[in-house]
Amino acid sequence: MRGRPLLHVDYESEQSLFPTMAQKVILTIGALLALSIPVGVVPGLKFLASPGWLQILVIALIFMVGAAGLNIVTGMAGQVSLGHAFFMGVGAYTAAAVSGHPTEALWGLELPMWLGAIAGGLVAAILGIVIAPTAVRVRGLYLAIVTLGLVFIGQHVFRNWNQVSGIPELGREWGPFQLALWDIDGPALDLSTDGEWFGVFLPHEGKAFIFMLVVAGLFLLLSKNLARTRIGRAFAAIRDRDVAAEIMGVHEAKAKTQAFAISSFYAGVAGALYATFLGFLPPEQWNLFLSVQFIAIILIGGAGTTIGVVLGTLFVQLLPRLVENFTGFLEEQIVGETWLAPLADLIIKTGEGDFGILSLAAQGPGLSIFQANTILYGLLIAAFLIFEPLGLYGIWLRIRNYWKGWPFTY
Amino acid sequence: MSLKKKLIVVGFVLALVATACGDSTDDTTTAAPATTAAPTTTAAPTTAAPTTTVAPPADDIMTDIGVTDDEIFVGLLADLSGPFSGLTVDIVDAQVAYWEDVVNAGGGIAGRTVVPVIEDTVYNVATHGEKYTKIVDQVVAFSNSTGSPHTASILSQLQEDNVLAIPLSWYSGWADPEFDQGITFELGTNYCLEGMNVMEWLVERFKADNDGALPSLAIATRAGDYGQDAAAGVKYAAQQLGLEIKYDGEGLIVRSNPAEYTAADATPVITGIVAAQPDIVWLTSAPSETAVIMGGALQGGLTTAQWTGSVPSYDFRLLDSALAEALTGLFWQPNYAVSWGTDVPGMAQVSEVLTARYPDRRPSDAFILGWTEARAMEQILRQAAANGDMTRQGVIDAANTIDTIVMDGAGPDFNYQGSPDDYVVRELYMYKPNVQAYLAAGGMDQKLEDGLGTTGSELVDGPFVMPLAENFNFTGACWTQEEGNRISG
Repeated sequence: MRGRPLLHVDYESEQSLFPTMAQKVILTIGALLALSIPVGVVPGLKFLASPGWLQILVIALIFMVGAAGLNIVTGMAGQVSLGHAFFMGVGAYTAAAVSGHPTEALWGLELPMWLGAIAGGLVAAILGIVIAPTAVRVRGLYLAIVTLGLVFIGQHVFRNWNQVSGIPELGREWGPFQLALWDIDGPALDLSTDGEWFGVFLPHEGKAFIFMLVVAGLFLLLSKNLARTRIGRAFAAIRDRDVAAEIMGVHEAKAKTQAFAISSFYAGVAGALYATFLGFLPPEQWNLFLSVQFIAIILIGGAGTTIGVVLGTLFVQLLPRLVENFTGFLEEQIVGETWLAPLADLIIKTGEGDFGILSLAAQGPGLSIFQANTILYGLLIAAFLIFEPLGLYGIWLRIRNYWKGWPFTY
Repeated sequence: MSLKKKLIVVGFVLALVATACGDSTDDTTTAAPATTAAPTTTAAPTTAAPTTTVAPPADDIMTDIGVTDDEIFVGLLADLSGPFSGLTVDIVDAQVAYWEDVVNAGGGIAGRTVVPVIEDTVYNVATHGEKYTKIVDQVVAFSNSTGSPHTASILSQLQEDNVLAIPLSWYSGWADPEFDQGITFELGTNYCLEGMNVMEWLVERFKADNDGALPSLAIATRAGDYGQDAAAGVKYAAQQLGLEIKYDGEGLIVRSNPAEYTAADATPVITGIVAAQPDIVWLTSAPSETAVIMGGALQGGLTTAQWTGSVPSYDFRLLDSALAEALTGLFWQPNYAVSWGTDVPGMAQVSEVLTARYPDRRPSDAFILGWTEARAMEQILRQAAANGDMTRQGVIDAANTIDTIVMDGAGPDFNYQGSPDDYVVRELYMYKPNVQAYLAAGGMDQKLEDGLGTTGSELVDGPFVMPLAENFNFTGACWTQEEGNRISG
């Protein structure tokens, strides 16, 4: 049925993950392009092959796993959760206890990373199941408040449970970011040193990138698959109208519990990988700002869609570096006195008394780059909610539909 | 959703974001002066793989990463917009002034211009690591890495990349080869030796004023390698000198909310100190915490005790607060380097260079810290150039073998030769805040262009070393996360 992607003549084609040939081709090309990034052979993507960019991309891929989890509970099942940072923290500290190096003051079993990540996911999932009944009692903004409370409870526990999380504002070390089957000193897949893979030299960030590409791809595929299962359809029914769903025979409490459990599992795994990759984090890391970042990812990308998770994560994770590079670019314009200099001078604050929105340090009336990013998240969330609830995915849909109907507007 | 509902949601989300933003608010009491455009991040020399070989330069100096035929790249991982930015911005700006207006204006090092590569770490461990990876392939060494956990988090990478770093932190572990594997080069004395030194100095003074009577002591510190490292030194001194510790608040200065130290957080500490009625109170805290605890104890009726604490517990901006009079009367302020305006040989140059570059900034003690960091790094690089080896390993070797790192009186001269016990810095300065002198000079409205100015600190003694610290056999960190206090009970 070429050219008629919405026409389905059998149940199988309607249910398939990637129904059209175009989608399959785009997916394959995308995957190959992504795989080539650390090697730096594709023109236009070469700059991403530096360790600095690769590190950001690895973190983005880890965030994709977490965002896919939030997408399950918030996007698919419609239960707003601000507690994602808490579940990530639970996963991270479970991983620390499982795979961290033990000392007199710290717990650690020195088991491989994969065990830590799975254990992190499972413990987070169990806590998700414990939290889920509140979602049956309250919904919407009230549920958001309840889950918000989790973040603060978590902050308190993480700051005080020193055997697990280390010392407040200092933190602890996690186990190595290595793929070992059992013995962490003899990894099956060495991810933490620079070296050659299949004859290609890769920095260790490049190896980690390829590893995370596979992991994130797997988790995204599983979450996309979930949407078409019986459970996924129950989620959608609950999201659209929970009373109606119950009348249809969907067990509300069960479906919401499943949503929280699966979502928390994703968050736990993401938290474990994130902390293990960075290697050293203070307990304050799992704060409200992290939750807000995930909400931003979901809403900017497009709630309920897997492609939205990918686009949203890339957008939110790359935004700070882009703002920074943009500021650097503007600064060069001023220093170099190019024709853009007057405009650049309007945007950045170069000194005391100078007008500008962005300043290069926190003091004075200008915004620091960090503050500018935080405010940008807020504005983008607001703007997308009002003008494009489907997010970046919605924008893509509109562009596609425009060309589909071209030259007609309808 | 109707538009009204949408707006409610939007408002809610914005409120949340605003709350989240609250975490980044400044920790110190007053806003710091606005900065000029100094932290100019420079373009990367090259981001090629680290293994790229550089063509041998004409002057026979070996180089690998971060040094080209005409430029030397030095990294700064600094908190420019996080909780300590009030201090760090001054530190970075002083470094930039030193590199550009002193070193480069004087012909550079081995004919090469020094280029500072500055990244903002927001005082966040994750960002610190991210920024480290971003610039590590460009620089030969780091002349600033702000924060203890932050520097600790990149320690294994520093070792792997074999690149020297000067931490902006005074943890005794930086001098401990077991902890840092010889890759970090700290400036000034450490929290632990400082605790010993200050306690003995104050006790001597107390005895002289009180017919030989020994003072009693109260201790309150933060948890971790800042507070507990200092507490180890203070307790060691108390043990050796026979002082009674009437209140032990080691590790008890804890915030329930990272953004703010509230009265509720401080209450247990304050009541403990007031109930103990000690003669001397030791604090290892952030300046805002010092203000809350000292203010609370004064209101609680502890009006005669003398106060002191680790260097970072005090900030001259506290003299802009209601606590200024009490600090003037009761607080002893130790320092690792001199305060702004102290009459030492090097001050004239510091003042001249910074005034020319930043005429409308106010005087700041942090300028001196940045200046000494850059000055130490300059001498290490010059030594490396003289050795004919400006590779990363060459720079580390130079740091380990240089005879004296000269500070012109801005701080104690020192070197890194031999064992930690040989080279660890033990000298300290003792200052006393004086709000009258501070206000007479113009207080917070002072500008560098109006004259030397003051941050209100008057030198009482220094550089000095008391016998306890002098004779202490320093073999490693006084306190570690794994083992806790390693030198006293």
